[in-house]
Amino acid sequence: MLQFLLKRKSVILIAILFLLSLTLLARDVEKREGGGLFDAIIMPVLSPPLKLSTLAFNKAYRLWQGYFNLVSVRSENVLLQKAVADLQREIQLLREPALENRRLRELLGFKKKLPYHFIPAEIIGRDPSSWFRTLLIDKGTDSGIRRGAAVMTARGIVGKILEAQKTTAKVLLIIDRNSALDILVQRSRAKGIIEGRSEERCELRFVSKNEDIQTGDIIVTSGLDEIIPKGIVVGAVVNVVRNSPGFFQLVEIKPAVDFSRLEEVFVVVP
Amino acid sequence: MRLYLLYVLLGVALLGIQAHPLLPFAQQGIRPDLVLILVLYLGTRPELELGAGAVLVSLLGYFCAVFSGGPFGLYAFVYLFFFVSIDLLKNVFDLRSIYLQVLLVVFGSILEGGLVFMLCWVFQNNPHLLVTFKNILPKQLAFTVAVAPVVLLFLNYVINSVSQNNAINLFRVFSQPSSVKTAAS
Repeated sequence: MLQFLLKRKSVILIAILFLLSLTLLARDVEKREGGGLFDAIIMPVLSPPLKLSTLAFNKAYRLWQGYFNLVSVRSENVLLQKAVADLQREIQLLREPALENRRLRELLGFKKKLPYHFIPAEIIGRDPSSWFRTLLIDKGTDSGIRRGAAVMTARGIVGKILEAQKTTAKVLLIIDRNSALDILVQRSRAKGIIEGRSEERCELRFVSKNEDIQTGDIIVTSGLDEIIPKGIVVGAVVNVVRNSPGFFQLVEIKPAVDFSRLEEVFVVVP
Repeated sequence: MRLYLLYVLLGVALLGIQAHPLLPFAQQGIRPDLVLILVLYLGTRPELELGAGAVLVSLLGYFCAVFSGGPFGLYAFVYLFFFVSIDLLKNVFDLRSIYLQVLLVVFGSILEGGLVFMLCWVFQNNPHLLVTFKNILPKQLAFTVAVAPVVLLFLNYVINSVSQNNAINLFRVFSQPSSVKTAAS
């Protein structure tokens, strides 16, 4: 028996490796715990050189862009000053309703909303495969980041934390087909779930046909899970099909964030 | 031993390039699969034993999974499948020719997409996989095949250089006079 096994040790080893990979695959699909020991060993080794090279390239790129951008700096400055002035006026107008809202919520005894902290993070890697859409950022559990936390930029939501190690974390983008996010239509307050479809499109699902959704409507996060804050812009509606089969409308969303140009993000933690 | 270490380091380096956020060819999230090219190349190497090679490519697959959003174990399974298949093909074809290796990359990229699609469909049961698969596969194939000749030539050069250095050192040891060898031992 031993002789038989020794003669076929390669075949047995390969069978064990196949079985191991399938077992890990099935387990990870169910629990989504990631690579465990592999993550703990590989990430601290590979993330510093990735981070250094990304920072070096980004600096060089910004210097180059800065040289060309000097040409239009003056006119852009004037436009930006006007935009700042408009925004300051808008803030002043919104301050009063915000204060009134706080007073009314206290009167009604609503649970006080926890303040959120924004942890800035640099993107040091992207998914090496074309089949999935994830990012690697240079902050992890040491900075207070936990699984499920929202990741955003000034333009809107980017995704949520899929796995977090000590000094790095993996972000699942909203354009990944495995991503699902609870949302609201800002105008009509219709609820739904947004799922990723491609680099530039998401699909809004489970919105019944009698809900009012139009092209151009802004989609925001609903905050129902209490991990992702309410009101973060997700994108805008670009196409609505009401006469599709079934109970739900087909709604196509263009994300607010340009995922091909991401360099820095913010992780939102309560 | 040195050669196996080199294979691991090459895998890690190619993975680092593939995962880099500033990869020049990463149009619309499509990235050339450099690690797949390495795995296919390793399958054609005559000095790589089946068992050791299987462990090596599984390790590369687990390294990929650390960076990827795919389930852990997915790429280990896929790369292991390719390595074993090429090991069987080696008995029929002479796969040392770079033209055949590029052809392997073409079929490998298509098959990899099919395997990933099938495994994700079985384990995740996502109804939108087919559309994603049809959108991504042609671009993925084009990018990977475009860089394959360069990567294969580079791998050939590096691995043959290290192998020849080993051969030269061995030759030097065996060609020394016996008195020197005895003194050395």
